[in-house]
Amino acid sequence: MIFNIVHTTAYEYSAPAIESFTELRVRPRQSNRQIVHRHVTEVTPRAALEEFTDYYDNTVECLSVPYRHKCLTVTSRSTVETLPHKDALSGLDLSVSEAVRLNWPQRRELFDFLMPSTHSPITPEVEALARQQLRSSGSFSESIHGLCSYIYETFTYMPGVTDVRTPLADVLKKRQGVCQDFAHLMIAIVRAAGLPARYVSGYLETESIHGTGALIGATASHAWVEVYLPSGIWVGIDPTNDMLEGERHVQIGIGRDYHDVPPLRGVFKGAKRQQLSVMVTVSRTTGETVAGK
Amino acid sequence: MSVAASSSSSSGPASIGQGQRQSQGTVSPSGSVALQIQKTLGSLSLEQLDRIFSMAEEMREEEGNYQSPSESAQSDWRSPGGFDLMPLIIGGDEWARIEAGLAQRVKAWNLFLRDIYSGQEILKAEVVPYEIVYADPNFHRGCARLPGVTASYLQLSAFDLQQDARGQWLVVEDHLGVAEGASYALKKRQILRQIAPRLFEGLEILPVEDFAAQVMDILQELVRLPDGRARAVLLAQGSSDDFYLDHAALARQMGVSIVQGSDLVVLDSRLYLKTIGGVEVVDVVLRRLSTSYLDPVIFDPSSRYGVPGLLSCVRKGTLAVANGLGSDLANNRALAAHLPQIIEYYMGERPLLHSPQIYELRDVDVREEVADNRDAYVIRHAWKRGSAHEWVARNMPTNDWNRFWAQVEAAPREFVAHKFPTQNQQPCWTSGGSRLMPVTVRAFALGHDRISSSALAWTGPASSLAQTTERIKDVWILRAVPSQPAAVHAQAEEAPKRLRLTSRVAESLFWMGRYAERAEVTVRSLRIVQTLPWPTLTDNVTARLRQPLWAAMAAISGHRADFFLRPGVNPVKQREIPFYLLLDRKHAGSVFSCLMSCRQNAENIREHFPPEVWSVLNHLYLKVAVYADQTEEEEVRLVLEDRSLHQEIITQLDELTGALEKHMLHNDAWHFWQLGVYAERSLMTMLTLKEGLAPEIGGSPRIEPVSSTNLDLLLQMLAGQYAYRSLYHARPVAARVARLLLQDQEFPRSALFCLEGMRRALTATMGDRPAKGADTPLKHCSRVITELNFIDMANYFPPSGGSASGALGDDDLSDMPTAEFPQKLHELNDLLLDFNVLISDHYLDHQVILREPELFDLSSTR
Repeated sequence: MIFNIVHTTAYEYSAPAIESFTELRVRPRQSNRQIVHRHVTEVTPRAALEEFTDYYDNTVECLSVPYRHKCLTVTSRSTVETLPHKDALSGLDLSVSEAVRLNWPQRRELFDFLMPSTHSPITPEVEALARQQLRSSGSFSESIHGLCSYIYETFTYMPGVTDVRTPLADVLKKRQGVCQDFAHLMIAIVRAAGLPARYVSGYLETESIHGTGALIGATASHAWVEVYLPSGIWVGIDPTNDMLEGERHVQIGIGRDYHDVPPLRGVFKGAKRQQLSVMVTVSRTTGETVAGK
Repeated sequence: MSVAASSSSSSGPASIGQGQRQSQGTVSPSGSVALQIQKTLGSLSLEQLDRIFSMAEEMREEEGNYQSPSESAQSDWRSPGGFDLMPLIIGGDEWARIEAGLAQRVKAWNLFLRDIYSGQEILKAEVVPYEIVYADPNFHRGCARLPGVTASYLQLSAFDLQQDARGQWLVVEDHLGVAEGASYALKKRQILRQIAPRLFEGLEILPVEDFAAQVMDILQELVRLPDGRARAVLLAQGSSDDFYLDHAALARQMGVSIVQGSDLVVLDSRLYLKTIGGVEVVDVVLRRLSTSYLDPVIFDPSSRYGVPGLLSCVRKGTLAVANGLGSDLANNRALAAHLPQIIEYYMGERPLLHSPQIYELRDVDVREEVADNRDAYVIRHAWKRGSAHEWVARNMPTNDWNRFWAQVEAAPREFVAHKFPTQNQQPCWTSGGSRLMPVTVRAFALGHDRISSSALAWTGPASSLAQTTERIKDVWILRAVPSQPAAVHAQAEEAPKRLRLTSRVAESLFWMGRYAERAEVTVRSLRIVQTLPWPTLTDNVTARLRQPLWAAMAAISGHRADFFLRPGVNPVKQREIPFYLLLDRKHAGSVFSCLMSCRQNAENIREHFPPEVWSVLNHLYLKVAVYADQTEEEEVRLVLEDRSLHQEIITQLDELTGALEKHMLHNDAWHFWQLGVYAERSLMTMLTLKEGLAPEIGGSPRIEPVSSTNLDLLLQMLAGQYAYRSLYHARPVAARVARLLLQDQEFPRSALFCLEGMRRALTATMGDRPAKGADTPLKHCSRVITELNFIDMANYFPPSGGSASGALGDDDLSDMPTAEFPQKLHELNDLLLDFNVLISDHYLDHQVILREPELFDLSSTR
């Protein structure tokens, strides 16, 4: 499937801001699951964009606006083609403990995704959930699917209840949250069981097109999880929609948790308050637009 | 006085050479020099010693300006026993062994850091456990694969050494992120040379004087600009840092600016320093902050000390940072446990210098052993430094220990243990006498193969250097000074470019001036207004007449003119007025708040003015603070009532101005203080005049004849009574008062005088080669001056009844201003306020330079 994605972030400051510096992680990554045909980022007021690749191979664009400005708007437009890929998880015939053991030789490379992180701490509650959902004798693939369904069924998608700073413990208590919270929770539980998991930041086509069904999550960016298979494959799984990552998911970047891949992070001086608005549209298109480009 | 008699410890002189005896029992060269020095010291009379120690004390007091916070907090900081006359003597051969060992160590750490931030081969080879690296928050993933950095991580590192009981030197700590303290060595040597020159007689010891120049050379080598010298700055946290003294001294000796994050700005992936002359490119940063604080976008977002975008400059290769970003990782004590393997892996060598055994608590067996024999160990955090991160079990009650041990069990990777060292003791000679003390030595490495001869030593706990600058020992390395070719530091001796004042410092001085002036005007006015009848007393005729003066008081203290005239709305009761305007912490316009802001600004830039100034300001602030804290006391009520506190504050503010005038260099910094004073004063004069003659009560100016009593009081509020009498020898007349306050060229509080003062300051700060448009504030100033000069009072105080014919004397003029008068003052006021924006745009934030780029593309239609 081919998507045209327009991601607009606008900051409006209560007073003119100066010396703002911003990092963007909004460029979809190239992988064997998706091809990025086009990506441009526009910034108002005018500023030069610098680009680099971070530790986890995500593309980062950064910009500085040193002079006085009242608002800052960043619009990135991407055309991404997602490819069908087969379900690598469901057929696996091994237990959770076998998966843990098979991953052992890669422990060094996987260390970052095995350890607790800022937004995915391993608390006693998380450990209890891990024991309950990912029993060591249980089937690895069924347990992962089961955990995903458990989160989907137990927690209610409710925008506005939580934000980036809400600790996992609160999400567990309220049983409400958004895609980010569910991803962080699932990551923490998987890691508590000794299995590697990482955070995916991306986009999702939410509208129901051609009877494919509406999906939950994306009036803004979406987030889900990747779990490492002993075969060396990271498989994407989306607890907000209780499904494997599919052709309607577009990946931007990966990291230990949100902290490694925020779509936009920056600082500025001058103004005390800011009004942030984000608009994302993901629209399916035909091949011609790509070819015609 | 004999050595034995002066020795306060039980060990006599015979044991003093201990540790400097070689194994055969013969005394080493360093041992015999130490004995010789002790003999010299022992031969001094009590009077001679007294004189030496009081000289040391005096010299220290001259430097006392820069006491660090923890020093001033320490009660024994001025203890007379503090100054140690006895240097630590290290023989030339012994030092050569240390040099070789440290050079090997610094090379190994550099190779390690290069590897970790690129291919991580050593982790793949399992020579060092990967968990130690990956779990350390000082392993910064954002620093991986940075260009430039990969060649060289360590420009300036430090190593702490101790001698064990057999006299072996052991490295007890590495400082590979920032290496502090070297300037103390120089200061100690300078004082010792001056107060006890005899000790140096006949000895050849290595110099400490060229340290700063060597650091500068290392930075230049790091950047290697094809054309000329790289511009360097020293980036530090500011006066709240324990090592602030050291930072300021090193920067001064290197001839570079000591800056904070807010002094710097990133523009198109280049780093710039904001100075009053514009922004200047920075090529290399000597950092005194750990990597975590350097860039809030990449690292700790709560850091107030960093520069957003700093890393993007390093990434682009336009900026070098010393030490390399991420090098703090190598401070991890658990990593140091693997240093022998690291040396072997990269260099195929065996370590030349050893360290005390480090026990890694991530190992469960080690944990058990330490828990079982806890009294034998000191436990330390693997990467956090300082005494707060060291635990001694034998000093801990069982409960505390259990709680602490639970922490260790929860995160064992974060802790290491050491056995208690049996340290060699060294002779110390203070005014308390001579005694033996364990000593830690800090040596500095410059680059990868040079060990500086600026070493220092201190007594007391190894981790306490920041707190024990008084217990520092000079370190003498017995070696003939190699005859250097004269050109070695030729570069460093080139006449350095004159450093422009940084914008942050200028801003602080500007605000110091403004706050001090505001405090003065407030207290002077209050002294007068306080005695007037309460303005809203209905049965008092005078009360209504004096209302304009209350309006002026309100305006001066930042309120609406009718603030004191609205009984229902006004939150302040009459008898609380003096407290409210003088001492109220909650009122931002109170004298106390002004003095606090003034002092806060001063504290942040203390190295920019002489100690005399600081001491007056600090004393004044503390005095007022004591009153502000005891407002319930009868005494405070009294000094507010009889206005003796007012008088005292005025006197001390005069003293502050005097100290500044007399002790400060009349340089750019001084001009910014002046600019602040004059800017504030012109505004205050204008406000007082406007409200005093045409108070804005009930939304519009009230125009009435002004009584000569009111004019007299108004003059007193602005300390202008003497000036008026000197000029006119007659009772005050409104037009003359207005003229005096606005247009007089000699009266220091007139608006014109203030603006002339500002014009002088602005002219002086323009520098030799001002940028285009840099004279905008100056032009604005001249414009206001012209406006002032053109005011004809006859227009605003027209003679009553008579037509404007012939030459009119002031006595013919009206005692009532026209409605245009407050209007005119209002315009002037707005012009004065425009200065704030102009000064900030041109000197401080540089919004004039940092304009939105304009499109030059001809094809584009705009």
